[in-house]
Amino acid sequence: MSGLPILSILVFLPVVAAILCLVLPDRGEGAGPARIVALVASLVALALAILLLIDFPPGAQGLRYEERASWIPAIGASYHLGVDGLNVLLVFLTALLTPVALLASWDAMGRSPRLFSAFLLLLEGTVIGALTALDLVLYFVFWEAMLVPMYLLIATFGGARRGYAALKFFIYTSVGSLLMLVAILYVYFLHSAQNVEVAASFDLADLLATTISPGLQRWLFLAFALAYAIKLPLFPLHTWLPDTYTQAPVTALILATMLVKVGAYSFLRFAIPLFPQASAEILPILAILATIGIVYGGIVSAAQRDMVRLLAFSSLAHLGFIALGLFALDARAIQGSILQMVNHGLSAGALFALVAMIAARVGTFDLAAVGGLARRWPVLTGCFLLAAFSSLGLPGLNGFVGEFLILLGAFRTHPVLATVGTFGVLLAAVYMLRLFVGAMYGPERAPSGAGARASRDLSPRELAALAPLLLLIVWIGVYPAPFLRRTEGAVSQLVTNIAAAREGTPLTIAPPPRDAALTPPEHTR
Amino acid sequence: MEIAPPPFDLGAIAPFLIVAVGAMIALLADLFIPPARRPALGYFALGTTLVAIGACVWLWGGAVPRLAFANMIAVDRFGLFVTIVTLIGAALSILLSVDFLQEQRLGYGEYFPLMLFTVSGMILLAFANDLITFFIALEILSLGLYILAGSARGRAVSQESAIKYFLLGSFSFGFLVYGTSLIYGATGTTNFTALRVALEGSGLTDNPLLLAGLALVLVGFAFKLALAPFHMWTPDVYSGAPTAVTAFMSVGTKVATFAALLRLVTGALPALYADWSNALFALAIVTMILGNLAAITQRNIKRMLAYSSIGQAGYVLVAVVASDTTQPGVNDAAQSSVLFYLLAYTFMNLGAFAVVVALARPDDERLDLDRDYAGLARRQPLLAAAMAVFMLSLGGIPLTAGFMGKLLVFRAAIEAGYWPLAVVGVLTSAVALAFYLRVVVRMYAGESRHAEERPARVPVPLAVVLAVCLVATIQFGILPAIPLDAARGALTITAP
Repeated sequence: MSGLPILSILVFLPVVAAILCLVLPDRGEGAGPARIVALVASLVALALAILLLIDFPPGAQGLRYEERASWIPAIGASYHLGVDGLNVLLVFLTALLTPVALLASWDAMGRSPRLFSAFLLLLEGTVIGALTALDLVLYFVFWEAMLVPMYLLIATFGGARRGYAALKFFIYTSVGSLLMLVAILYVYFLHSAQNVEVAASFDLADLLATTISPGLQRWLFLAFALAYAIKLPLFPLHTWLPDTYTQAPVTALILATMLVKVGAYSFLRFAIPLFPQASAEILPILAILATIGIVYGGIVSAAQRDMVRLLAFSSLAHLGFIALGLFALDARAIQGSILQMVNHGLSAGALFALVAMIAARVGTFDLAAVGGLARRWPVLTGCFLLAAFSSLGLPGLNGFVGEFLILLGAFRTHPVLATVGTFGVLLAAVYMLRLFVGAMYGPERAPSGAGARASRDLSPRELAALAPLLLLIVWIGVYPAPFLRRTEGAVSQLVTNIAAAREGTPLTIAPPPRDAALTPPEHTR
Repeated sequence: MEIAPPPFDLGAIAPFLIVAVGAMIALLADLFIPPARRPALGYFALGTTLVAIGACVWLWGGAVPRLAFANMIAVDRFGLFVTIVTLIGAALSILLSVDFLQEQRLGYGEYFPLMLFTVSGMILLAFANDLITFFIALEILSLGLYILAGSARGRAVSQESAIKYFLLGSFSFGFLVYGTSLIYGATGTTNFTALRVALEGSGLTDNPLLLAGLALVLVGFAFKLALAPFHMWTPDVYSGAPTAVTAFMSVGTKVATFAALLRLVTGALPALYADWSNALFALAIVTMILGNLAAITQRNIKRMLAYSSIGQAGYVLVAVVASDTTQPGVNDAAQSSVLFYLLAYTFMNLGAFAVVVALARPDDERLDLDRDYAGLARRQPLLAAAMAVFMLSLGGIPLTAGFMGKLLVFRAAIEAGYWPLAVVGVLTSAVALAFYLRVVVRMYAGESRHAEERPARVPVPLAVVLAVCLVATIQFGILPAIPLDAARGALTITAP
């Protein structure tokens, strides 16, 4: 496997398959060869991602599977990809959620299955690109490019106000990004001014060696943080999220939740290591916003009638947890955050899929209009129960492990915020149980004229979409060690570097070894 | 007194000669060709531009840089690069026009000869090394465009467009001529090379006559380039002129005039860097803000593209401001980003206009964003996809040429220390997304008003234009190294 450019394949296989999908014909609603091509491509990508995850040594520090090539030599931008403990799980998760999203949308792709499949695949490719890019121009290209397929998904297949939602989504999330571009350029010139003897470079490893005064760091960090805070989103920059989620095609959201995780991951990869002193200063303030997001998202979520809107605000609360863990700058909390990103992808992915499956049967997302579905569809109910419990953090399931680690770590640095955050767990129980009980129990209610499938429980295709998610929900809940160990090395390295910078010792962040992919795996437990 | 005539180095101006001679042949041939065969003139004009491109490539490899015609012409790679870009724009515009003229019943007449004359003016502009040459070139180019803008003789808006363009154009000439005379008064020369020598180390840089002349010349340029606040004519002229002419005008004129501006300020007036960079700094900020804000409210696609081209000119201007010749590294980055941006702009803007042309019907130009673009993705998926790419590129979204252009421009601005320009640039880019993306939203999310009618057939020449623009827009966005290296190789503005 060492000779295979596995990351490039993960980025470009979906893109090539997407182009193929675009030229295949549509055969009317819910037909045509495009989605089969898309599914096969996404399964191949998933197989590669699983290999990557298995092959990634637990506890390893430094980057693996690095790929470098010259790209725009005139400005020093290069094609540079790599994975380490910070992103390997997320790459796997993206590759997993794509076939799930395709299966869940199988006959809900509207007028044009080929466009739907193509946009999903493009989203996968660009998200994996943004997750693995280690050159800041390349990263920015993917970061902005991943908005385009999402935008097109909303604009083409979205709800009644899709035009407005698509525009708001795109403009809101790119405003912050553009300031990040200016900050990237600023760091780039600082670096080339400090290292006149070497060629200018946008490579992260090179830019990390730049000395930046604390005052300047503050501004540059804010420019990066604004982009990520909007993407994440942090309260009060979250207003695009409910509009986007309610107007987007619900099954596309299974994958779209990855967009926000790229924002969270980017804090760890770029903003914090590049500006350690400023992070130490500013992150506690952002942690307050994250905590507000937990509580606010929970309360608003509990008041929603629309199931998708409820899940959108619950995502806000979950992302608040993830952010709180990141901003605690504690090894355990950060590991918890990374794991919680995976957990949120699994549970939110499963819930969005299930809500879409319910809506396909009863024709509405209105929680007040449905009830007592448990009697009709026991299997669907069972799956829903598992996903909802995972989302509210029941011990024994994955959500508990992540939230526990986050709170454990956060208590050491922000005891007050962690306490407030704990109440967020209670709120999660309120809104999740309200959703679950409201839809599944009580008097049997479903709008008349429900679809022809109203009588049927989950089909094998729907089960196939849910099974991997539910399996992982239980697996991570019972035995999270294989996942946690893979994040360990990178996180401890990161935290050590930050601590050194905070104590005011001269910044000696060693750039990751250039030939890390070639060195034999270090000691593994 | 005997005046020795300067040696005639006709080889140096081969591209100009080819196009000018081609224009004359086309003008004569028009008399003898039956009306039904007149599209052939279009292909003749296309061939002429391609031969001229060949001549540029030949000169590129030959003895450059060199001065010709008593130093009034500077043949260097900078000029050749700009000429090639202009000629590509012209070739695509000609292809755009062939079926458009027939469809809109505009009649061929002098259309293609005029276009070639205009192109010859643009080429001369790119090589001009003297304010007089510059002036003549600008006249040749403008006269042709005045007539082309009014070539839809039956339409009042087209006539209005031509008159407005003519009046404002003449007005701006007034500024240029007066400014030129003041500069001559202060320095005793109009030649770029001589100006540079005269200003170096002289006490002239504070001369009020010279500075007033510079200010007037810059105002003239601002009119020609449609920089805010001298842009008022642009929306009316662009929307009134036949779409194919607008496409040509918005690309060729901008490219050649920017080249002339860059050659004047960095080749002749580097000693006045502080003065002209401050003036252009202010113009760039106003242009980026006004152009992009005004575009938001437009409902007519041609007016929107007109304001968009104003905003785009603002971004190019950012890189011109950063062209400080005292810092060679900074200057190279800035000038190469001007060239790259102009190249990228040529393809993405022409592509957008090509889609507008493709949608036009004989009785109705189909320009209304709400009415005619809504639901286009369902009726004509390929055209809509192409338009989406051009809009994303104009909006500066990655994987397109427009993003690379903006990246290079902002990079140059920050390197030169003009980070406020970069900040205003990125913020206005975000604003600009509102109107570029609205087109995409309309196409993909809107309900079609013309659902019942058959989709317009896209004629082959137009399809070629679309394909070329599309490939270039994406290719330059993903792998910009080739055009960027060419632009960097073109950075010797002759000033021996």
